[in-house]
Amino acid sequence: MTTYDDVLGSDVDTPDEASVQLPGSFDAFYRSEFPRMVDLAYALSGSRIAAEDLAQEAMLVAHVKWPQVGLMDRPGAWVRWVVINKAASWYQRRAAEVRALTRLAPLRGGSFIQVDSETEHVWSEVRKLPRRQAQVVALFYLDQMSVIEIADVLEVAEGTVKAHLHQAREALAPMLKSQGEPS
Amino acid sequence: MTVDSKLGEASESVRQARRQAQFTSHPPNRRHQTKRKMVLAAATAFVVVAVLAIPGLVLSGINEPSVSDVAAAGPGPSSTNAIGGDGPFFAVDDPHWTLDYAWQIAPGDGSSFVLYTNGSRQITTMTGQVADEAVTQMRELNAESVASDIASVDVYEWNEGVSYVWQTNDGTDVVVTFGQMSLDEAQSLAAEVTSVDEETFVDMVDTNPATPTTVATADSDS
Repeated sequence: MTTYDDVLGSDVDTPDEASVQLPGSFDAFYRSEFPRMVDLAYALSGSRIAAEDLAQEAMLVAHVKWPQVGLMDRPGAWVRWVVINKAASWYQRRAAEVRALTRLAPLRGGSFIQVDSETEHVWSEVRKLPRRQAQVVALFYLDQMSVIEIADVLEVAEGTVKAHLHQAREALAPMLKSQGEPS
Repeated sequence: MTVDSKLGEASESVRQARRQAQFTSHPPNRRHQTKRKMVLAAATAFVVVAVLAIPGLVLSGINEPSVSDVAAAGPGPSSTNAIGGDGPFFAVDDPHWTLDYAWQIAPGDGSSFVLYTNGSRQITTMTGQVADEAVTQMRELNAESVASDIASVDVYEWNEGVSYVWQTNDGTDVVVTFGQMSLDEAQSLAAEVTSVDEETFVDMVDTNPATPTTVATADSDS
């Protein structure tokens, strides 16, 4: 079985000539998936600026690997997996990116969205959850994926997804209730 | 209100905000018009983000490659041409146009590269040898040609690399550089460049994390 890691670590410059099968259009894939990848990256990173970069980076990887990724049954699941992993590692290099973004911000104009404070509060609470729970919540609510699809993206069992979802809801209930809502 | 509904509302809010931002950030055509006005007023300062050295035989084996030599090396499976390889490289911009991402793809039978704006709008795709044909192969994502917006393409060769500079009709410079660029070399393309940062984007592409990446920036205060 080919794993996501296998695809990431493979050499696309040496395709298997025995299996001549053409991938679908990357452009169409990009246009349909990129906005949702930005949403997902935003939910998990908390930064709209970084979200676009993370989604771009994930799409870049997909582009480079497209001869293989394009042949997958669900390339969207694969690129979500890349986004999730990039969002997870984003914090590790956040300091360096903040420097870069600070420098570049004046050049980039005001193209980044702003969400209202309530929305930001909700997602900031989500990001405080254990990483896997936050990922499941983002995929389920924001990306509107089913439990089966999430299990496919995260390469875990459906029961695991359900458990994470349940635990996340339990943890979020008091957090979200405390924001402008009578107890 | 339940957790379910709060998360649902927060999700929809993110989606709506993203849709609105995309619409207002990149209205077709207006963007070019706005850019044209702004660039005419101040077309000097722009950011050069240059990238990685490509250890190809063409670049490393000659000191002063001619444009025709670089182009004639052509793309190929051996990745020995000037734009061979699969690493990231970069782009440039002026202060009034959003940062462009660029990356190179080397499918094996023809080199190409793509420039994306930060709003995901693809402005340039080039395939095959990058030289004279570049202008005519510029396309928007919708396949509508934007060649009419391109005034000229200049090729700068320097000690260890080559840079392609497109100037649009509104004065915008777009530079793609292959090879490591020193500050002096960057300044030979854009006098406003004040630093060459070798750190910032080193880890930008996980598929090639060890690749040294050079980012040159113009002074944002200028």
